Amino acid sequence: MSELMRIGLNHYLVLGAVLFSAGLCTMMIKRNAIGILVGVELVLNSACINLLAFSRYCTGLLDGQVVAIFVIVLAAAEAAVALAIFLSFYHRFATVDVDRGDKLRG
Amino acid sequence: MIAHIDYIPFFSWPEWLEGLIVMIAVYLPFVCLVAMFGIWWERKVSADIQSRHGPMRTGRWHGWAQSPADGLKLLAKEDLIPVAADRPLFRLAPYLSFVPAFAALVVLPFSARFIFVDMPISVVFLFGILALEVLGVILAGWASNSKWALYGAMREACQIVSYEIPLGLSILVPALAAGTLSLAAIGEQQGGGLHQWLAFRNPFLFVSCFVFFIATLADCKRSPFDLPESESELVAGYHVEYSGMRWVMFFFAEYAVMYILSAVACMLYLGAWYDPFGIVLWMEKAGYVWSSAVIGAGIIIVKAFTLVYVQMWLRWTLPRLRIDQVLSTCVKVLLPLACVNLIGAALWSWLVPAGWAQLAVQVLLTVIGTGGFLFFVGVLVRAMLSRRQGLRLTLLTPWHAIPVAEPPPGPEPASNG
Amino acid sequence: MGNMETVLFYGFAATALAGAAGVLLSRNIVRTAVWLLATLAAAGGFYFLLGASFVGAVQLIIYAGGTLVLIIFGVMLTARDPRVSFEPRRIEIAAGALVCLVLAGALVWVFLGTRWYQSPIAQRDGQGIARLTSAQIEALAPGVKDRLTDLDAEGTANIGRQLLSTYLVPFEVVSLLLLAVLIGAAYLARPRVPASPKIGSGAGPKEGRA
Repeated sequence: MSELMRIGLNHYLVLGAVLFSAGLCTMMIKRNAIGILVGVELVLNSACINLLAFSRYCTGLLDGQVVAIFVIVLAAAEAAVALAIFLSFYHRFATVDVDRGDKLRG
Repeated sequence: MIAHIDYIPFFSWPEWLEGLIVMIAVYLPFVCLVAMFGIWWERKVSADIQSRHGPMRTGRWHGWAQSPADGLKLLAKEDLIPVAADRPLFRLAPYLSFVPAFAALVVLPFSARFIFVDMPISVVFLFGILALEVLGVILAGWASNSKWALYGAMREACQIVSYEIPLGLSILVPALAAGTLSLAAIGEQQGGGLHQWLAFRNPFLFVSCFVFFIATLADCKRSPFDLPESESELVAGYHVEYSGMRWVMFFFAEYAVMYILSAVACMLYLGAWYDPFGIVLWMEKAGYVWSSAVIGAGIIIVKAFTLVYVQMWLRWTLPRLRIDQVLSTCVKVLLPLACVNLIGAALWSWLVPAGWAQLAVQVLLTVIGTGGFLFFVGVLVRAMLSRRQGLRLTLLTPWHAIPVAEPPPGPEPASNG
Repeated sequence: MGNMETVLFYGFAATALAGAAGVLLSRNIVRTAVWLLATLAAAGGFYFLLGASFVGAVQLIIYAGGTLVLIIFGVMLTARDPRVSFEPRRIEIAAGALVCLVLAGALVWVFLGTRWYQSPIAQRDGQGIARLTSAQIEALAPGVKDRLTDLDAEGTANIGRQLLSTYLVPFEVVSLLLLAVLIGAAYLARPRVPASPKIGSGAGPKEGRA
């Protein structure tokens, strides 16, 4: 019990693993394209939590924080491009259901 | 031995409890009082500009009790939720709007001693918290399931997100000039007289002060950027379907954000809690800790409310901009200006030595700034003293001295015989 | 009961897991975005707990205040009827759940079973100060040893210094990448002739090149 009370590296790692799996499950299950993007954001957040936990508990340096900043910036950029692609998809197929994009045409 | 970088001390239970009590007992009433005073003052200011009285009857002196009366009325209103609305999101949206406004008070210093949490990155934290406002607005518009609410919400989101860029750059410029990201530390560098205020340090900071103010006008959805809640077009924009206490949350959030952004403008540019003559700094150095803190808090509240008054003044003077004008102002005018300010301020602090040249520029900008301020004060005073409609009304005219309108003369009574 | 750090961690963890569950189980795409907000805010809280205040503030500004707004805009621009949800088939849900449970189990097993290297710099006492003996300082890797003096100053300044020294190339590359993203997203999302509801029509040069 006291091991659960004293927050250490393992707590953050387990949390990161669970959030990662949840994000992956979202990416696999959702048919709405935006839902898939939401799953991607969950995965990236779990990766950031892991990075910062290692930075705090293992090395004590700032590398994890700098890389986490890069991850956040790149996630925002990737969300922008992904949404632009989804808008093109919507203009082409009139729906965001990704199961409709199953013909290699157009 | 190496000190921790961003160490967060996890206080004991009594300290957390004390912090919670301070938040509830001091900051929550402060927000409510600011909002209630703000709405009363807005009605009086708008009345003054439009040559009428405003609230005069509720409470003997200029209707001061109008706001508490309105609050009681809103408490008693029926809680309406539209049938087709998304109920959980409809309920969530006012709190998503109010909580960031309230949480931003946590890092706002009122004086050198009255800071609730002194974070080393409080400027960035404040910016992040205020960026969450837009989510409440979008969800309110969406969850209302009403076309007009959605139009207002989308315009609002567009506007706020676009203006966050010049706002953020204009927050960075004084942080760069002061060399720190902590609001309290930026404020502490502005003691000792009018020329020490960050707005007067170099020309780029001077221009950046105006860019920041215009960006806060857009962020608070105040006219001339009040297209999201344009009363003549969309009735109330994104909160049109809200009534009673839910609407009160939005409205408190709006006035709280107005106050907070004005206080941040004062903190970053206009001398924080120091007066123009250096008295408070002298008091702090001489050891009068508590009295200088109280006087400093009073000074910053007065300065912030002066900026709030300017915001209200602009609202009732300028016409509204169209959405494409709003966005082109942001992208074509404010954004290049903010970038030029950032680069210019960086180059200035690198190239210009702190000597007589810097001091001369500071004094020159102080003279220009004070001249502009006194000009506008003169305009106000002259408007107040001029005779409008034969009545010389100011905000201090007693209630009983205002003539009540005479009833129109009725038909002549039938004469006898 | 443990100190406030425990309470905050478990509170944020509950919020993050509730958000993840909401994202998984929610049928309405706008509600999915709102549950994502809960997870993003909880992740921001974790970053503050882990001593990375600047990264936490950046998370709030960019992720919660930018990316999430972008996602909600995307939802509203592509919504035909917000009540219609795309239901995945049962076999897909079962396969997805199985794969992810196995993955979560494997990851947790690996994480809990590994002995992670803990540098002496990371052992902090009650005030957050790391006390190293000179023998421990000598034993550090050279790349770490000459960054030790950086750690005494305030955190954000150090992040800035690292961005301009150790991580300079990624910093410049990311700025170029953001420019490419700006141009690409603006081009991809350009206004076009609106699509007809029939799939397979409207292909070719009729789509306006705006």
